[in-house]
Amino acid sequence: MALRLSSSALGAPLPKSEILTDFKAKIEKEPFDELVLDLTGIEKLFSWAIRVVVGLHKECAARGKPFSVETDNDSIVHLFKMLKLDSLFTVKAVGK
Amino acid sequence: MNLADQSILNELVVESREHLASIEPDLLSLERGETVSKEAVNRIFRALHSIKGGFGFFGYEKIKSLGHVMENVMMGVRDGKTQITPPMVDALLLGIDKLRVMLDDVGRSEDSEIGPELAALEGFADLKVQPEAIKIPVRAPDTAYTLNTLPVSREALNSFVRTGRHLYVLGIDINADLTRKNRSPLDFFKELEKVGEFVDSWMDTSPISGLTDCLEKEIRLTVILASVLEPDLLAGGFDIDPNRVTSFHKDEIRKELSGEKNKQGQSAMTERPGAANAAKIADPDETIRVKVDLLNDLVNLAGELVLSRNQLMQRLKDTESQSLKTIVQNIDRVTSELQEGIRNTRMQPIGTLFAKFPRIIRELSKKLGKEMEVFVEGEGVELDKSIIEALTDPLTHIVRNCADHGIESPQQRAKNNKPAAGRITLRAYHEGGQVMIEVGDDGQGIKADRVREKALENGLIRRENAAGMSDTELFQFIFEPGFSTAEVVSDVSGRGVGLDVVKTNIEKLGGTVVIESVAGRGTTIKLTLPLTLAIIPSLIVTCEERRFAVPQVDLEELVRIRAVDVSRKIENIRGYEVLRLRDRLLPVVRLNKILDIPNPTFIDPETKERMPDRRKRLADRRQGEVPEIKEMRSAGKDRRCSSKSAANVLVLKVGPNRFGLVVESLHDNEEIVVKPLSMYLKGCKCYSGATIMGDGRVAMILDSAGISEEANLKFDELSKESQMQAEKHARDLDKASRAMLMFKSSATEVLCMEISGIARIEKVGNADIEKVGDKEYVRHADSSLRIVRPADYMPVKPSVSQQPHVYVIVPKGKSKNMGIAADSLLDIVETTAIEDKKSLVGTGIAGSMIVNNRMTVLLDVDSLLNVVEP
Repeated sequence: MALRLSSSALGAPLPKSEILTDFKAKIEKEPFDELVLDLTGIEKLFSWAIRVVVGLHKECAARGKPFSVETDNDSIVHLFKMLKLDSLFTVKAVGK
Repeated sequence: MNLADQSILNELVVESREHLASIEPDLLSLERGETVSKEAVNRIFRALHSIKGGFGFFGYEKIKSLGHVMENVMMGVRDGKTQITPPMVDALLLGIDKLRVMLDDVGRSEDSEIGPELAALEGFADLKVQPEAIKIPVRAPDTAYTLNTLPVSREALNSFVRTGRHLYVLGIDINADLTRKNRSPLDFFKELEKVGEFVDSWMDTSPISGLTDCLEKEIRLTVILASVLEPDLLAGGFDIDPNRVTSFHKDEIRKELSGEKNKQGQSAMTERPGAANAAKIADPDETIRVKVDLLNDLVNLAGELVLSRNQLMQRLKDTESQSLKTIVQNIDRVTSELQEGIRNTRMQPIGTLFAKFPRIIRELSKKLGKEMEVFVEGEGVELDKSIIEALTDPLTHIVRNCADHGIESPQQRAKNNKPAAGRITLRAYHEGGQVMIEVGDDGQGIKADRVREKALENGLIRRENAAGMSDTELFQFIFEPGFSTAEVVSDVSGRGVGLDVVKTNIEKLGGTVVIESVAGRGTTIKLTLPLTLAIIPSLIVTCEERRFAVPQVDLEELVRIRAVDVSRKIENIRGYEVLRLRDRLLPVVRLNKILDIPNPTFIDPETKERMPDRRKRLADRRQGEVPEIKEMRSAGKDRRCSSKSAANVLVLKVGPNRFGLVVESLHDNEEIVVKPLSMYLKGCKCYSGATIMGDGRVAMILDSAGISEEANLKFDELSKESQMQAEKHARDLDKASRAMLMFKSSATEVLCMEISGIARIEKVGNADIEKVGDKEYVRHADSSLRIVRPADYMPVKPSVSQQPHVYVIVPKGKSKNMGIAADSLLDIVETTAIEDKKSLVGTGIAGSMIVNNRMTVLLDVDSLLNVVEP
């Protein structure tokens, strides 16, 4: 069963720590076979959001579960490639 | 693509073409070699690696893929895992051809179909092997980077050096440099790209363990950037701690690249003997790439400078000022050296052209089923670039002709005891200020008789002239359009449409082409070409107040015929005026006549006036109502002695032929700048170009081949006439000169007889002479030889010799077995002395001659022997 996480707050310029609390609770509460972070609708990712994405990847890695990101934004796909994060987890481009 | 990238791409295309051109000859030489040359394999490997890396960098995947597979093939050879075989070479050559096509239109290279080439190569390539790559290291943030550990390809480093950029490794702390400064990573990358080229980046996520610490732990983003900015500007401009900026200066990168070239990988191959003869690859720092258009502009400017120098020298030649003369001399010297230097920038070794032929012969060998090898000499001989480019097609055609018609089939070669592999030789060398190129084969040669028949069939010669033509003259017909003696026309050659074009193209370059051949042994085609087309040494001549330039390469000698000799040396044979020059007859052409200048004149050498010339023929003496001539006639003076009638003749070369061109006067030798004829004058055969003289006036450059054609000179007829006259002269000489034996048989007189009439001479002791009555005999073999003492029968004094022996001269071809006694043999002389039959007569006397200032009696052997024994 795939657990989908999303939050429009990930597009904010400043860190929102409540997102971390929310994500953490959902991961610990709901069993999942894979984790999907839905970034659809997010225009820009700031560096703090990137760190959150990395944190989610590490959570899944610790549990031995696959992690992927979905986005409808080409620049976010490009960014993950430039940072070589696409070698750590799957980055899917979805239609707008 | 921005302008800078386009410029780099253009340069990459040019370099890649050079790489491909260098791969081919190495590949073919490896195919032929018995042991593999490590250096050649490494060159091919590096070339393919460069092409693959360079175009991969720009995202041209098809070129990169094909280059990658070819590189894999060569890696196997380099590591000793595979051997070079003809099928492997075929596949690699196929790949090279495809790469060439893709390079010709790089923009559309992604649409190219490379399946067949990959399929041909895949059997030879270990596609699982990844070519050498610099792996991304896992390093702690503070570990110093070095150039050879960065994930940057050699091609990329080369391009940075070429474009003057330094390489930077930036360590960006996500928290400190981005989050706290409210920068998004993407915006940061965009800012970086404004000042340089983004090369690569990666993020070290190891400090983060999960959501708990993801916002607290610092993670490092590493970015590699190439930029022209200096390090302090870069760090300051992006507000990055300078300690986290590692910079590699472009000079440092260049040194690192040079160091890498020197330590190419070890291989399993042995060095091939003689590999030291392989061409030395130029150090890139010693050469610089220059556009051809720029060189052409420099050549034109040098030409203008030469003209201006000529004008300056002419204006100042009579100056009294010594300092000005010195300055002018200096300008003259510097201009000549500059012109020479600029000319040399356009010079290229002919080896670049010769390098194409091993591949061509390889293909033809397969197509024609003949084993053939190419040998090349003189690859270093240099020619102007434009001449080399223009030679490609003619030489290719000649080589194809050698392969198709020259070299015999393997069966025929075996029958003729020739080596199985036919030999085609390309040779270049300098001679007499020109470049000679010879293309030769050891094939079946050309049958002169066959050419003669074909020439008669085509109506090119008359039957009465055909027999007297030399082989070289006959072979020139092979250059006639449509002339072919080929029994089989192939798609390689034989239609008779190629060699005429070859000759025309060579002549357009100012060169000549001649065929030499020996039936059964082989054929050599010799091309003679000028070194350069732009500036040439020439002789300036005048005709009817017009100046003309005669290229020195066409000029063999200058002949001034004195007035007294004109009527003797200029003859009329078969309707042509000819000059007898030493042992040959030269057809003579008057320049004013061939240029159709009406109302010819001559310059009176005494009064310097220009007077009308009414001579119809050169050898005619001047006619007309010239008062001076009338006066000389009436005074009884031989007006042939007047220098007014002397003739200046230029002996010009047209291939193997020579002719004389009569001009009015000769001037200086000058280096002239050749300007091409305008389209309106291109049909004028007598001119090959024009030049501007020192005084600004134009002089036309004469074309000796065009003049001979315009004058319709029949060299073969005159050659035959010349040969006939030479033979007659030789016969006359033979008759006049006789070899005579001088001897004494009497007290005073010297006798002589022709050596050709003597069978033998024997020395006989007096004791061996036997007398029968008053006759003397000596035993010879099984018979007796009668000794005849001339004094007994001829009106000469008796012998008083006290010698214990006598010489017996036995005449040739006489039925009577007799020999003529001689006391002493004086000498054998070659003499042209005239026989005097009247002064001295008598028995046994044919006449007398003066030989060595002495009267000598010529012996009449027949009449003497008849008197002895009637």
